[in-house]
Amino acid sequence: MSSDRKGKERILQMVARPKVRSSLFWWLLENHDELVEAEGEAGLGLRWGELCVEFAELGLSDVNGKAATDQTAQKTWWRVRKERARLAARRAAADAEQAAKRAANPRRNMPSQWRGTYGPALAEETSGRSHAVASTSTEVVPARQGGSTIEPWEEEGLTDEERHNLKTQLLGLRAEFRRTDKHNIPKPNKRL
Amino acid sequence: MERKYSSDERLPILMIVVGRQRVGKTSFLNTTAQFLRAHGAEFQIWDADKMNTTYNMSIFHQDARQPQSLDPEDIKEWLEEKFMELVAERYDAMLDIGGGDTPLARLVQDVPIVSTLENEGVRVVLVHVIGPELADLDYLERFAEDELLAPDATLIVMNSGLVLSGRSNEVAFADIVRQPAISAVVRKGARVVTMPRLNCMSQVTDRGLMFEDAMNGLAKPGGTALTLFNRVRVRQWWEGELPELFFEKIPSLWLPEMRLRQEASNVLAVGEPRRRGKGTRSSGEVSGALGQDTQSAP
Repeated sequence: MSSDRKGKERILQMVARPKVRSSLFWWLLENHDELVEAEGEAGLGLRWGELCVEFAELGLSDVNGKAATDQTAQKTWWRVRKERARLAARRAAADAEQAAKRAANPRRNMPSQWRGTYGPALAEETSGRSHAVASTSTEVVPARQGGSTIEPWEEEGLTDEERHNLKTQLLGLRAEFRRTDKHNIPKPNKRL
Repeated sequence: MERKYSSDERLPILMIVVGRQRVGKTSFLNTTAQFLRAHGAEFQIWDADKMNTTYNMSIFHQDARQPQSLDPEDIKEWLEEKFMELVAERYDAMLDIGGGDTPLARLVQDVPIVSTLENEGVRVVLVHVIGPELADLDYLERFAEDELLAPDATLIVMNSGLVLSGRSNEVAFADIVRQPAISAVVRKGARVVTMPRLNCMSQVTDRGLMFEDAMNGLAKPGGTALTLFNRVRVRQWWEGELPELFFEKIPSLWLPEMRLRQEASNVLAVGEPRRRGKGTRSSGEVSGALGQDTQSAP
């Protein structure tokens, strides 16, 4: 019985992680969020030359089993970003489908459909209930653009100069907007 | 074709401003011309926007050169003459061509004016003034298509003055900065800058005032001066926002040389540190931001 379970796990693993992708790809995919966060703190980009040395020490290789080079690591990273975007879109589509099903359910606002516990009509509990109603009557929501959206400078096929131009100009603009809009937009009243 | 000049060399500048009607082309040019001249730059102003009679460069700059005729073909011929004069006499110039179907649009379909002028050692600086509407990118797309008018020195000026009061620039321009037309020119080296909003701009221009006169409380004969608070608004914009948020972001080789700023920054660099009066800005402080712009033109 236990060998059956292990066999099934192996098969699922083979389907989810086919050998057409390199070990480096799967590692980058698993550690994507942490890498992006660390890169964001330094703001200097990912220095593939140095990272490739570490990848080799971890036994991570390209799809041919060879040690990754600057170029293959960078290309693999683009593929990882694309895969992340694809997975995010897939999740958003599934969420939207579920929300549509919920919205189409004529019984969606009936008390039997509410989740959570609802005690006597105390003021706090009442507000919790209205929140529950609001959340179950969700309309179809557009697919969210999560952190996996590919930035213009991350597109494939750009030269280093083009990538640099896009990154400096667009990030500079965002920083400027943050700086100038801070003075123009009224702050929300925290007392409300 | 190999160029005769290096991209980090100071060359005569022809600044051409394009964009849809009512996006603020003349506001940009008027502001830029006044600011540069106030800081020692010398250049000619060519006012070919004959349709705009209430707010044009000639109202604020009496030395602005204008074509004699309103006929588009005559203006086109006048432009050709001015371009040849600029090549021969090696000065800087700013061209206000107006919006719509301009003689310039006709000329660029006839002759590759950018490569022709660049081969003669003139830096063509193309300024696209845009607001937050997607249709404001029409000129950018049209001129970039087939490289009709697409010099290396391309500046995209997002006019904050067109953003509805209460909206943030980030939200107002969010769709614009995501457009492929923007990415396409930025990756080739175009710069994107935001022109800071002056809330009382129309009160200054409707009075036909220069910005320095307006903030100093001057008025035209028979006219009225700005109110106290509007004078402060103009001063903050002129002395703070324009140099720090706008001109600092434009490569210095894309603008006529601001000699007074350069001289002031040189003096400060070798002189004793100066104490600054309360609430005043030293000219050196501003000039440092501008004169030390070492970004070379791509």
